[in-house]
Amino acid sequence: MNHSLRFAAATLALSLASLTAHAVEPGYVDLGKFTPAEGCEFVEVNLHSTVLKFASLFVGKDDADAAALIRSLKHVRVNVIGYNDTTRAEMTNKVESVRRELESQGWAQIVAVKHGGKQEDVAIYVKAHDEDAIDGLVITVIDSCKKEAVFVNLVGNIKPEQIAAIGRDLHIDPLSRITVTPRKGA
Amino acid sequence: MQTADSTQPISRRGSVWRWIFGVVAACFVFAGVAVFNLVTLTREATVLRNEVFAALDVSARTRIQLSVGPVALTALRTGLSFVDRVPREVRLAFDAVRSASVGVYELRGKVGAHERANLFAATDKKMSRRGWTRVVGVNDARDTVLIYMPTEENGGGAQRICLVVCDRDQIVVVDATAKPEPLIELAGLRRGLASL
Repeated sequence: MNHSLRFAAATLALSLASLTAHAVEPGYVDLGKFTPAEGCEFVEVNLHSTVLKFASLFVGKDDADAAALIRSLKHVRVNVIGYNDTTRAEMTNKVESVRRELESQGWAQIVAVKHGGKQEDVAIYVKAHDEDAIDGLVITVIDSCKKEAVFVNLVGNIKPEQIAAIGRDLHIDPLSRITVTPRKGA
Repeated sequence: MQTADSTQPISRRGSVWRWIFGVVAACFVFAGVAVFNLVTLTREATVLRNEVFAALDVSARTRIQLSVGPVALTALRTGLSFVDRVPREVRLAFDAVRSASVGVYELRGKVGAHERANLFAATDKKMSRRGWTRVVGVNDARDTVLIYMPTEENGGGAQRICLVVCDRDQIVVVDATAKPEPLIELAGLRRGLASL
């Protein structure tokens, strides 16, 4: 009986530990669930470490650096959500609320771009681990021309100098153009 | 006494016939089950297909429905090993795929934008209850693509995916398990051929 109880307690503790580990991954941001608006473009990619390892094997044949980079990521989430006149306000509010939440949680904004008045509004945030590493990165974009909002969350042990390479390898344009030197405690 | 001796061989013969009949019947049942499994989808693919049809509210005609399990694929791989002149790509493809279940259905009506948008929520709910997470979702004016993988991460080895592709004319449902290594080699081979 005691043995069974100990086994049950250990199983419960392990389950809770694994749940907690996932929940407190410092670079992870719960962006919530998105569903496509009627007649609008929608893309969602949500890759965890197993799939990223799988992807790195494919890339590794040609580009060892890119493969190492992808292996260092624990989670990649990309959302491109088209909006129409009905959902425009909802989507703009969502982007603004994500930005506010990141700022309140101590994420550092490293890029803020507004092209053509408010036609393209880009904000990039990083969660710095120390001077040499970033735990997470979030990109938020509202593109009024294309009528779409973009959310990207990369989680892992990312070196600041790798950010541009990630942008190139994963075809995320705003990232491929930047270099980052995070401050300690940001 | 004499009567009992004369009936014994007849009874033994009857017993042998019963065995033969049993074995033949078992073979027929086994063949029937094998054929049934071959032309029906796996449980996960069936659930996904039914949920897609319910969400899209459209009827469809079955064009292809085929499932090949690990036993059949192992037999095929073994058979191929005795055959010369099989292209390396074919060998790699058979080595990669551990099981596959594919259904192709021709749509009998037009799928509206509203139904396509609703498809995501409906299938996500159903699949997540069965331990699957959507890793890719694409919806544009023409196509809808949903790819699911098991929520529990496996450390490596063969990877299982369930996917559904819906375009204007047809729906394709796939449940497949594949090993990454031969696929990578196959991709490398294709790239090598393409660069020639």
